[in-house]
Amino acid sequence: MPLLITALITANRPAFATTAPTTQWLLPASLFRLLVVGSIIGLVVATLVIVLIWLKELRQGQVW
Amino acid sequence: MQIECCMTELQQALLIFAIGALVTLATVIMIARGHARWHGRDPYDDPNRAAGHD
Amino acid sequence: MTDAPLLDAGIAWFLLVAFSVLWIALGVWWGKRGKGDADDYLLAGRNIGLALSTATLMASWVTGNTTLAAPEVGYTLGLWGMLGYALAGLGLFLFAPLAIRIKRLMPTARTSGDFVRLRYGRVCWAVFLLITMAYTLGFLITQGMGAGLLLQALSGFDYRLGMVSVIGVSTTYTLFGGMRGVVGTDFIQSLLIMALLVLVAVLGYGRISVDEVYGALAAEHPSRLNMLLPAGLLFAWNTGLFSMGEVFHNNIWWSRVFASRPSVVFRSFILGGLAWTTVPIVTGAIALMALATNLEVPQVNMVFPLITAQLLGSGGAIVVFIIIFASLTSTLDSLLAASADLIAEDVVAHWLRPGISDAQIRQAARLVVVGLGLLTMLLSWQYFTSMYQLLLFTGALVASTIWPIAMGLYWPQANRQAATAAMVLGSITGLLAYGLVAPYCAALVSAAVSAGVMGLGSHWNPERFEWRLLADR
Repeated sequence: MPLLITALITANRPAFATTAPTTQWLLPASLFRLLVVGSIIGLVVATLVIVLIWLKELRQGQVW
Repeated sequence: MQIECCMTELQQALLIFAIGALVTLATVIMIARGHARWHGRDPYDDPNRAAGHD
Repeated sequence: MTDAPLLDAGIAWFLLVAFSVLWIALGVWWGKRGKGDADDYLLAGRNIGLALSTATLMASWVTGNTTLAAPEVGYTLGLWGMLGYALAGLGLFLFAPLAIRIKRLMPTARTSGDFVRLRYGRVCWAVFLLITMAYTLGFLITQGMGAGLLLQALSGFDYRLGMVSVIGVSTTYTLFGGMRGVVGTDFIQSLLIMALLVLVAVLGYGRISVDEVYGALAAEHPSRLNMLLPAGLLFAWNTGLFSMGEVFHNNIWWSRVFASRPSVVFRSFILGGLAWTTVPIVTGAIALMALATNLEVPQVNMVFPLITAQLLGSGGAIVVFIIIFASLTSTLDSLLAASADLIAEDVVAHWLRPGISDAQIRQAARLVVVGLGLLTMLLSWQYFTSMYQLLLFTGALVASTIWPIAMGLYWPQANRQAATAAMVLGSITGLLAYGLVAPYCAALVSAAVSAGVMGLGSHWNPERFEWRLLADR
């Protein structure tokens, strides 16, 4: 299977450039900031929510 | 491929992007309709049969 | 590969041994709880609460690919790489309503194969098993290779030593702990991953501000901020469709539905999806710092370890080691446990040896865990391609299952011949698109063809499925 997969995934195909000059529409700085800071805050909140639910279920004996 | 001779790279990418959005949207709609169809019902009691459509 | 390892070999050995002992000890300990019957070993007693259910979904979906490949696409494709990868959360969100339906329709079932066999018959079931086995092997190989690469890049270990260690540890605690051991360790691993990612992101962006990163990208690498980047647009929906295919069909997610309490099933998939969606954006944003600081990155899938070590020194390398080790083991354990359930229940109990006892099913599952662990080591022995390219390849297969599974759960008209044809034709056209158009299109083409075949086939020749047939597996 690895040989088959290697043969297929290395088959010739047109490549789409990742950096070539093209029509541009840059994301504004404010939205970039919102995306980065928002995702970090989201991750913090998600971590805390899971811990809080676990503590609540632990007190009620409903973890398992 | 023939598509490459009449479209720019950006146009091809936008076309594939639009098709991707369409397939995803169709899947979301199918699931939402299915969920609404069974919401609050007995899981084995088909709404079509109950209404005599089957 | 980097010239010098980022971590001192002594520290790397200590971390490897310490976490290996911890996971195995916890797995064995949790494995001793419960009644010890097959339902306990395969599904942790079918009564998991919201916290563990959410955490195990999160940990299983944060794979070695999320921590290595998501930063890679953030680095190469910029914003579309991060956003497109984050769309993989769609699989978890959209499975939430399906999960309720599964739980109510099939209260005693154990695997996704049970559903396909009862709903569409044995021919479709055989095609489904081929697809899920091919995908599972591909997924296991990417995690095995990721483990070897990580330990080689971080600590200078031989590729095979790292690969064998990580697979060996996951196999051992899955073997002794069963699903209970997997879910318990997943809870700790998910919290470790999330807390340490927050630490890296906060400390990293404390050194270079978000505005400085944006300024450097706009000046030197504007393509990374370009919302009309052709390669980014191609990538955008692929991961979302791929994730739906993976989550809808794979027994990892079905086994979580069967293992969880009915009242928590819907909420755990929504919460798990929300938590997971932030991870590729955070890791991608960390990778963008490498571009902003002009860090030399000899191999792009190592961008996350390199930038973290660059920004935070040897402490950063330790954190990366723990994050990626936890990601790899938490995914490998879930894959091993869920695939063992599927093979023991579907292949052994319903095909090779019908009528075997519960205890024999449990024993078969244990043997399959060991067999799959050894097979993964064998297939990962040689590092042969980019991890993410291999995963995109398997996307063509799994995306073909989206419509057959979802339609089959909701609509009695969903037709068994159409479901079989949708999976076969979707897979073939997806693989052709992978080779002839672009790897990023494989899942999209597969899903589109499969949806068309399934919808039209069921419209022209509707089946009258009796839902009660699903009540007993």
